[in-house]
Order: sequence, then structure tokens, then C-alpha cells
Amino acid sequence: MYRPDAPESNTASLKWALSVLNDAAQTPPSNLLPLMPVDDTSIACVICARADGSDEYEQHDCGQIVRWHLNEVDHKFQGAVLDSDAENYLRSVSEELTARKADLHLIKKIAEKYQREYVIAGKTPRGWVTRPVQLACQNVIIGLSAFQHDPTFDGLRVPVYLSCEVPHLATHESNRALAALMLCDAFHNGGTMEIRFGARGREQEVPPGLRRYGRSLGLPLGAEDQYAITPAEARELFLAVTPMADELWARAIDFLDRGLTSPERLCYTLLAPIWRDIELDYLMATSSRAVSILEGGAPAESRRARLAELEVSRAALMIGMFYRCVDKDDRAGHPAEVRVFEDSRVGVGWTVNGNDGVVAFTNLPHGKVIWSAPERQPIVVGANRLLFVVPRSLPTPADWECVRNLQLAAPHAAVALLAPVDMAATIPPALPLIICPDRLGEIDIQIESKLQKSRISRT
Amino acid sequence: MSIEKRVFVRMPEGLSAHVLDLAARGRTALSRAKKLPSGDRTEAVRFESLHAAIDQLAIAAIANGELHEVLSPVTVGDDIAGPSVFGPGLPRPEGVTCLITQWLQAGSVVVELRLPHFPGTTHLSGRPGLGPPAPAT
Repeated sequence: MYRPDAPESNTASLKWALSVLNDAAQTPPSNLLPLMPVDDTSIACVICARADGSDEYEQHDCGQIVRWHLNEVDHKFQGAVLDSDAENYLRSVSEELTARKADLHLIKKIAEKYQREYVIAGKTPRGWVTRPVQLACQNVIIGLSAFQHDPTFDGLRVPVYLSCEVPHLATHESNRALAALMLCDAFHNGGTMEIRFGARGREQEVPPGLRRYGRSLGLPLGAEDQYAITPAEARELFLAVTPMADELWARAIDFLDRGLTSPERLCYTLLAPIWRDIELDYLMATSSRAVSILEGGAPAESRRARLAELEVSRAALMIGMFYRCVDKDDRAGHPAEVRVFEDSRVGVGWTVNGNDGVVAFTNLPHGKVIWSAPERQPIVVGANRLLFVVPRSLPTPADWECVRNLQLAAPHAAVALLAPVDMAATIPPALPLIICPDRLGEIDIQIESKLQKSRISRT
Repeated sequence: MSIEKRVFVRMPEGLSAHVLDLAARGRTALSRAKKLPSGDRTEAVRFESLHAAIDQLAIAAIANGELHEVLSPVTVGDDIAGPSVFGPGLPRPEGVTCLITQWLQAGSVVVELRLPHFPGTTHLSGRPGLGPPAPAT
């Protein structure tokens, strides 16, 4: 903690922290008071209320702890909330640092045992085995934990939970990711979503880092039982750690409001990931059978229902594959440039028109669209950077008509039918076509695997 | 949200025997699937891949100008079990038009496809305001 009485030359002094804060790449608001360092390049600051009331933060934000990055970062990551107040923040950091050495020793022991009994022995662990988890980003370990299903309370036991803030990650990202892994494990094991911490018989309180993350979201974790995250708290936390685009969120809320599915299943589907966000958005937007698909699909004997589910799943899968390809700036094949395996997304957006089963892609790169059918008129994205895609694995004349109608309705946008490679021959040559490189059978294998993962015996 | 419709395709004569053979193999796979332990989907996957081949043939037939009829779903027998191929010696479909009945009476093989992408608004099931199920405790 920065000391007001220490000389300015001391890096633990408040004066030194204030001068560093004022020299930050992005000028901080004048009512931020440095509290303590978060990492080498960011400082935890408390938001102070000003006497004249001219706060740059809202009045209700005063007292909160925010993280100010000293280097240039995207504005949306600057000043993110670390905790609700200084007392809780300092106490939680102190508890975390005090327990860190013992926790590191414990996780090492768990990892060694796991290595000996399962990795070297080549055995797959069951859910009740204590499994160590290490979370890393760009070769930096940001989280360590261990999970096991505990039949004594039919929930998840977490003997160790360690997380930290690092300069290259957004605030609380390690807690978000570790919490997501923890909740997915709890769901996957099929028990209740109750999560208890510490070893059996020597229970510990909800980890301070996780409580701090909860407070930053406005979710009091461990409020009902200080040693556990209750199923109701887990539900709220699951929703908070699962990223969803606005449109998908609106559809999810509609499904939840109608009692069609549980938040846990939706979040698990996205985070596992069984279906990716665009795929789930498409399923929910276009099919009244989305709930059945999320629960593993109709039985094979109900062939008609099964075909309807398969057809919408195939379309979702193809649109997901296509989206991941167009949203990536892969430099492979550019001889003058080095291929970098980093986040190379270009920020393509999508909107699903549920009534027609059409996906509108926005912000696409100019030029010829990938997967354009080679012997047809190439599909070129124009200045409006807009492309309408009609994904169909069994295209009928009604789908051809849908493409033609779209061409008439949006003459300046690129429009195309997206079909598997073995169905391309059934589509009229004049129709703009994008060919998914997978055959129908290969797509079905992927869907079978997704549906199998979804068949978890809970509602 | 798009809506589902039933598409009945009259298969060309040259393909009828092949489609009936695929359907028969599908039925056999399905009966074998019932004897397998719970969770073993080997035969169910085989059944589905045989029917995927039939579906592809039906779509190719439509593209080649074969007759087909699009009907709205019926409530009775909507999701009934069994394959969706109709022809000589096989059960007749329910709730179909006279034209489809005529095809079948003339000895044609008819494939039913349930396709979900026809334009329209499908009502979601569930009741607004019901809320998600309570968390398991």
C-alpha cells in the first residue's frame, strides 16, 4: 500500500505513485487516489468524491477501486472496477497474498499426484478425482486451481483457487476464465451447481479473489454460506462470466423467460463450447426445435423431427465455419510477411434474420469472398462491406427464390447461398454460391459429436 | 423464426429401387440399434447416414425437375417414428394431398423431407413469464 509519510524517492510512497500516475500514457481523472500497485504497469486507485461535486465519475462510483494502466490500452479496458471499496479490496489482497505460499505448495502436490496416477499411467480421471487446472495466456500462468466432484453434497469441491492480474490481460480476466472453467466442470459432472472450497473437513471461505470479482460485478458470492457458492449464486455467476452478443443475449432472455431452458445449459453450451455464439444465435433464431437440439436432439426413430433438427444444425455449423474464416486475417500465403499466430480477428459482425434463415455479415473485408464457387460468377463484397448468406445443406427451389429475392431487395450487397461441397451440383449455375469445403456426411459427424456432448442428464 | 414444412418428392423410376434398398438397410440398422446397450449410437448413426443419402437423392431429384409438393406440417403423426420413405409395400403417409396419393397408387417411391427454412414466423413453445427452472439443490 502506498504510504503518505514515505519520501518521494521510495517506490512505496504516495507521492511517487501520484507522479507515476500523472505520467501515465492516458491521463487519469484528477480524483483518483493511488492505493497500491496491481502489477508492474497498473495501479489500483480509489475514486474520491470532490468537494465541488464536479466528479468525472458518477457519484455512486465514489469509493470504488479501479485499475489504471500506465501504458497505452484500449479505452474500454482503462479504469475497470477492481472492487467495491478500499477496505474489502485491501483485506482480500492481504488474505490472498498470505495464503499464496501454502496454496502453491498444495497445488504442486495435487499436480504431482495427478501426473503420477493419471498422466504417466495414461488413465482418464473420473469426475470425483481431484484434477489440477492451470490457466495461462501468452506463456504467463494466470490461474491455478483443482476441481473434484464431491458426492457428499453432490457438487463441486475446489481445494485450491489462485488467480492474479497481469499487464496484458483485462481486469479480472483470470477470475472470469477460472470461474468459467469451474462452473463448466460443475455442470459437466451432473451434480448441483453448489461449489465448496478447501479440503473435505477443512473447509475454507470463498476465495478472496473470487469474492472481489463478484463484488466488482455486483454479485455477493458466499453471502448465504461463506464457505460455498450456492446454486443460485452459481447461476448468476455463470451468466456473468459467459460473453454473449446483444442479439444472442436477447434471444437467451426470451428462452429463459419462457422456461424453455436453464441459464446453466445455455452458458455451458457456449463455454464448453458445444455451439459457438453465432451458431447458437442461428439455432435460436430459426428453429422452434432449438431446445431439443440443446438437450441432445430427437431420437433417430423420429426421423422427421431429426431431419428438421439436423438441417438447422448443419446450417448453423456451416455459418459458424464461414464466419471464423472471414473474421480472420490469416497471412498464410503472403510470402513477404511473417505469419503471426495471435488474435487475428478483423471484427466482422453478424445479424440473423430468423424469419428467412439468412445471416447478414457486416464489416467484411473488401474483395472476393472465400469459398466462392470456382466456376461461377465470383461473389465480391463491395464498399458497403455487407454480405447476406443463406446457409442450406439441402437447398430447395424455395431457397433459390430466397437468394433471388435478397438480390432484388439489396442490389448493392453481396448475396450467396452457402451449401456443402457435395450439394453444389444441385444448385442452378446462375445462383451465387459459397461452397462449404465439408461434405454433408462430414458435417453430420461434427453435429453428432456436438449433440452427444449436449446429452447430459439434467434439465 | 423460419417455419418447417413437409416436402414430398416423387423419386425418378431409375432411382426407386436404390432408394427402397437404402430405406430397407436403414430399417435394419434401426432394429439393430434397439439391441445395443444404451448410449451406443453406432447403428443409429448408420441409420442416419443412410437417410442422409436418401435426402440428398431427393434434393437432386428436385433440382432435376422431378415433381414435388410442399405441405404445412400436420399435428397428428407429426414426429412419428420410422423412416420417411413411402412406396410399394410400405405404410402410407398421413395428411397428404390427392396428388401424393396418386403418385403412391401409381407405384412411385416418395420421400418426405422435413425442412425448417421456409419463410414465416413459428411460435416458440413455453409461456412468457414462466421463468427458468429453479436451480437444483
